[in-house]
Amino acid sequence: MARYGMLIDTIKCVNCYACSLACQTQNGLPDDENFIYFLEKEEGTFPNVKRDFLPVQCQHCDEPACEEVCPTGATYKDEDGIVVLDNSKCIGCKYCGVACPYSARVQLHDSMYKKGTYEDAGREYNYTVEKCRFCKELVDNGEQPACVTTCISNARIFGDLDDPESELSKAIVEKKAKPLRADLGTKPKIYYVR
Amino acid sequence: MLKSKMTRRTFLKASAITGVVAASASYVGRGNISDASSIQDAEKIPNLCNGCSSRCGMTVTVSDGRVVRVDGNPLHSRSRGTLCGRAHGAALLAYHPDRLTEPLKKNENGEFEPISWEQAYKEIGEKLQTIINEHGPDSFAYFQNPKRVQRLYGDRFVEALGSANIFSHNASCNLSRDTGFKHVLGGVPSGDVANAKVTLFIGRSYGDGIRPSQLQNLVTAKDNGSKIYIVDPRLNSTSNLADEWLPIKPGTDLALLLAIANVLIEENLYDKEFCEEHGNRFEDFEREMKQYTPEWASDKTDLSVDVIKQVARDLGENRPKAIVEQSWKGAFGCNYENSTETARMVGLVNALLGNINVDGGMLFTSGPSLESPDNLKEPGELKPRVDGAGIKGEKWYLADTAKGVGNAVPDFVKEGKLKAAFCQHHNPVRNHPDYEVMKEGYEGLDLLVVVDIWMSETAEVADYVLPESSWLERTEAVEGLGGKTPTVNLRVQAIDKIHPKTKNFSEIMSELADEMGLSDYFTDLETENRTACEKLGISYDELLEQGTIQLESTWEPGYQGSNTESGKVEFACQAFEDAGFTAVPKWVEPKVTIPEGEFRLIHGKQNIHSHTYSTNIPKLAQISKEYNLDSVWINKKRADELGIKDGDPVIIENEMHTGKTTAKVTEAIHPEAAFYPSHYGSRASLTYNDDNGLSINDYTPHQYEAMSGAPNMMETSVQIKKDGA
Amino acid sequence: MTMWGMLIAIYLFLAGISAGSYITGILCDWYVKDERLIKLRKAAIWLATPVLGLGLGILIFDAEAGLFNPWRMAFLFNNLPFSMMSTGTLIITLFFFLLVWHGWLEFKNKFVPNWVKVTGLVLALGTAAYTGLLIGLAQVPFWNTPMLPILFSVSGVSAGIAAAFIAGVMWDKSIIEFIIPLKKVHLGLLVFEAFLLFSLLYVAASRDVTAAQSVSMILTGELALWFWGGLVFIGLVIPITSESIELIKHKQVEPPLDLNLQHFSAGKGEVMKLYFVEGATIFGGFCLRLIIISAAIPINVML
Ligand code: SF4
Ligand code: SF4
Ligand code: SF4
Ligand code: SF4
Repeated sequence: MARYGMLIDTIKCVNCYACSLACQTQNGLPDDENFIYFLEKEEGTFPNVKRDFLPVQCQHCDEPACEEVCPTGATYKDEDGIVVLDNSKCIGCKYCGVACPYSARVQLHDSMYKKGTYEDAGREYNYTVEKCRFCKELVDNGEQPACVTTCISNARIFGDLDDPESELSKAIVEKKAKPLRADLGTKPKIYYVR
Repeated sequence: MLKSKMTRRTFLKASAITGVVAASASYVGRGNISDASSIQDAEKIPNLCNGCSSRCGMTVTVSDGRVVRVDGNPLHSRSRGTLCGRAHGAALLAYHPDRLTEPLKKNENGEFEPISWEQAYKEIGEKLQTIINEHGPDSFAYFQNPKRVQRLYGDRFVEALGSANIFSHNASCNLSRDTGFKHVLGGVPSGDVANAKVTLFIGRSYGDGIRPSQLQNLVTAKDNGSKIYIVDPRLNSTSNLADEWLPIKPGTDLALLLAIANVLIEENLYDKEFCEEHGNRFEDFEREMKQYTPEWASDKTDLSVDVIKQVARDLGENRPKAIVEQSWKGAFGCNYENSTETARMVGLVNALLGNINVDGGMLFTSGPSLESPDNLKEPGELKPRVDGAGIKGEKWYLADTAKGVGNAVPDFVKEGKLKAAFCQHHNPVRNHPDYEVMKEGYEGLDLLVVVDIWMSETAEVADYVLPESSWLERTEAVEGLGGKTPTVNLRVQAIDKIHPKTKNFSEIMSELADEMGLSDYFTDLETENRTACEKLGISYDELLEQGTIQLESTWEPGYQGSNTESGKVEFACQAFEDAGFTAVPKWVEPKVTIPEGEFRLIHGKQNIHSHTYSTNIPKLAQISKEYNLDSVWINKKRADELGIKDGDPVIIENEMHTGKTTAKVTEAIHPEAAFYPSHYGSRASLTYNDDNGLSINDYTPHQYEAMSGAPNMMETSVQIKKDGA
Repeated sequence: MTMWGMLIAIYLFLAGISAGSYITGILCDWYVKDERLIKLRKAAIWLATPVLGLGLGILIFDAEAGLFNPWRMAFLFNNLPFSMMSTGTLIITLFFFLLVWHGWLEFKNKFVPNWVKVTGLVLALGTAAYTGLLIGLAQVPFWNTPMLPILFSVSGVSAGIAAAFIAGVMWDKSIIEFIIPLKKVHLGLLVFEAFLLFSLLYVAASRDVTAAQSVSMILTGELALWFWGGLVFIGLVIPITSESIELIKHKQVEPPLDLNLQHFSAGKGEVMKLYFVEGATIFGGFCLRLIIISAAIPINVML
């Protein structure tokens, strides 16, 4: 029983896409589906300019907008606070995708199943509306999510928010990390240093 | 200005169609969305990444014979357990639809037709022998990807035939830098960024041209409170890690360095003792630097006098833990008429800071020496290099001999000096400026053999194209890496060959050598590898298991002398005087002055790409497309004047080329510069990078920097206008 | 654009029409109380059924994971009452069954108890409101205005009336002369719709940057043609002008009303005009949903 969360230090992030590519591989996503996407913002005028990079993925909200709207109960929060999807219940209505303030949902399309090794799995996953699942199967196995492992600049820290001694909890305090758009009220569990 | 790119949903939709095609190459995953068990049963095999030339240590997870995941090898000194995006994209190369599957020969109609390996060896062997008999061994050249397996089988093949003409892609990367460093410091050191208190990066962006260990070091430096300066006409992806961005006018980095030297000397912030003791002709240097005041440099660089002084003082006050990072291609790898001089000055400013080979300074470390079996025949006397690099009296006497002036090949062909060439995993026709000149040059060879995994612009003009196994399908030679902790590393075959007729480079070369009666020079890879490990006293089996073995450090801090003519740091180099330049570095204007209204076309790397080949990797090509990475950066003010808005289609043109792209209108670039990434604009017919943007090499003429012979890749001016206006 | 596209726009549109059409039927009964409108009533109630069925079909078609694994549809009501999708689908489903039943009673010319009509009316209003609430509750700045559910309801009823008119007149041209009271209602709804539409745009534009981007996309951007041409001109200006003119004209000719005159005025020209004008209203209703769905821009999380 934990309450998993993450910290993303955007000062260290170099917008290298490695996390999203590692995620894609880990989850067997085709080239054009990503659970992580990147926003970029530029402020100031030459030569006093700042560029911000923001990797965004499911924020594993404590009060997930997606779960609230999901008619089937396919989207739910597991006992470790990870918001997951029971693919076998999802009807692909995409309401979760529309409701999620972080645009974190991705509808799996069929290209990945027709070729490659998905023949059996295809029916279950096809068209369901997936998202980052904090690599639950790795985490359950005591490993780190794929985006965290690959990140060169150590911009990502994964851990238990309920454990004040975790590297994550300490870093959040020390770096004054804050969730994105906390005002939207979904209580996201990814904290950003910006 | 506040700008937010929020087009995700639209691009997801827009790209759904391409996904169908792309999927065939990307069936890595195994539905592990809920199928965790498959990963756990999988096998983990050590390898060295081929996403770029850094060859980071990695572990490949293979399940059911298929690559399902790659991870950084924590033992490896370049990856240290992490990997950049290219690694994940390149992990699927084996399954790529463009793979070459059998040897090809160009027929009379100019079309490729498949032939057998026997026929390929026989014909190539005979043709090569005839050419060598007729024109001498120095009419043969080899273009390699500078790794040990290439040295063992490629270089040795060339040398066995008596030729010294070994080239790599370095001419279009760091020929000037290496040349400059070689003459002042005797080689290229690496900055101990993690331990330095102040680091000045010139055109080098660890976040764009990624080597994981370097980026990690920079993050460590940042965590430790080091001061980071980035000198770049463009606010690059590393900018958030920097304390200050110096938006320099492109091509004027030399002026900044000269002024830094001036301030260090004038304000007595340099290591006097070191310079006098270990410097050659320091007084000459001291005298020459007097003229380069910050005021003078401010005029050249568009940087303020205060900033220049501040940087110099920060460096000087924190010496010796203050460095000017060695860079790579960056600003002075091969880009401007003054690049070699810039490199010399980078070396010398570091020497002024007394940081040579001290902690937090510029380190000279060495890797393990790896040996071949004793019973192999050694090549005899070699003919002099066709480019004359390192030969007194020749045009490119100063040029670094290890890599050569590869961009000059078309000239040598025209002059009848080169008749035959082999080229492996390297694409000189596209990678050097002026496609037409390059193409004509390589076409002019009597025999061109290309070994690669798919077609390239160079392969298309070849006479024979030989299919190589892709990197995860082959074991390679044991190789060493220097550093404070040296390592021995190995790439181990991770998956079965997807295309049975492809071969490893080592096999191809030794089989061709057999055909030509050169077998005495070669042995098989396994023997090479076992011998290298045995002689080093490590276990090959352990290496097969772990991929990397860390060795005891041989690095000793403190200045150890320089591998230069004088054995000292050359504040003045005789060689430069001999070659017709000045012994002490001096200000050299860029060759091209940008007329009012035009732009200097500058380029650089993007972190998901390497050279020009990775844009054909579906996952990476997809990212380029989704995030419009193949756009040209233009300063907002300039764009406003030209009526160009962000995302507008624009035309870039000069007397050499006209091409279309989209504009990224930004405040984050110097007004004179137009930045375009260097990976796009392929002309080879490949699946994913067909029609994928422009190539900077289409806009730069075939030209040479006077000192090193480097191709002056940013010496060009272009006009940019709105498409349709 | 969010994950919802054209199909959802069509679904919301059809559900709105169905509800509006049913309401028209009820209005014939309770408001106009004109025996001569029986055919219109029947047409309206019957029309509502297949239209809603088609809408439900499209919803299922858009939910592909359910389409290919039909048993999953059983989970649709798992999240009552929290998910608008669960609640709405429940309302629509109940409405659908009620429509079938009501339609059957009408077909058999049996007595329709008042409670059926009341329930039907409630479900119809619920359906119309649901089409707005479904998207209004999603976290899309442009959609989060209190006007949206009302606008969708009003526009749904207005398009439904138009559809019922067409269906009724197709069945029997003569009813054209007895629908004046309904036309008054219709005109009122159209005017109200126009008012709601512009106040929605105004409120959206002034409350949030992202919503303002959506608004400018509609007014001057890539949706401008659909908005000004499709929704405003065809969907509002044409029907409002034409119905106003007709109502004014009607006032003038009303006193000497007699049978011959009726048959004269219900000539081919009048019928075609009705088809055209009501068709325009329906097209406008579709444009409205398409525009609202397409103009959605997700929240800017980078603030
Ligand atoms: S891997 Fe790390 S540095 Fe790279 S984009 Fe992701 S978070 Fe940023
Ligand atoms: S970020 Fe979106 S998808 Fe993830 S839990 Fe929150 S609302 Fe749901
Ligand atoms: S698409 Fe699936 S997970 Fe999302 S709301 Fe619909 S049923 Fe739930
Ligand atoms: S830097 Fe990236 S692409 Fe290059 S070898 Fe390392 S992981 Fe591979």
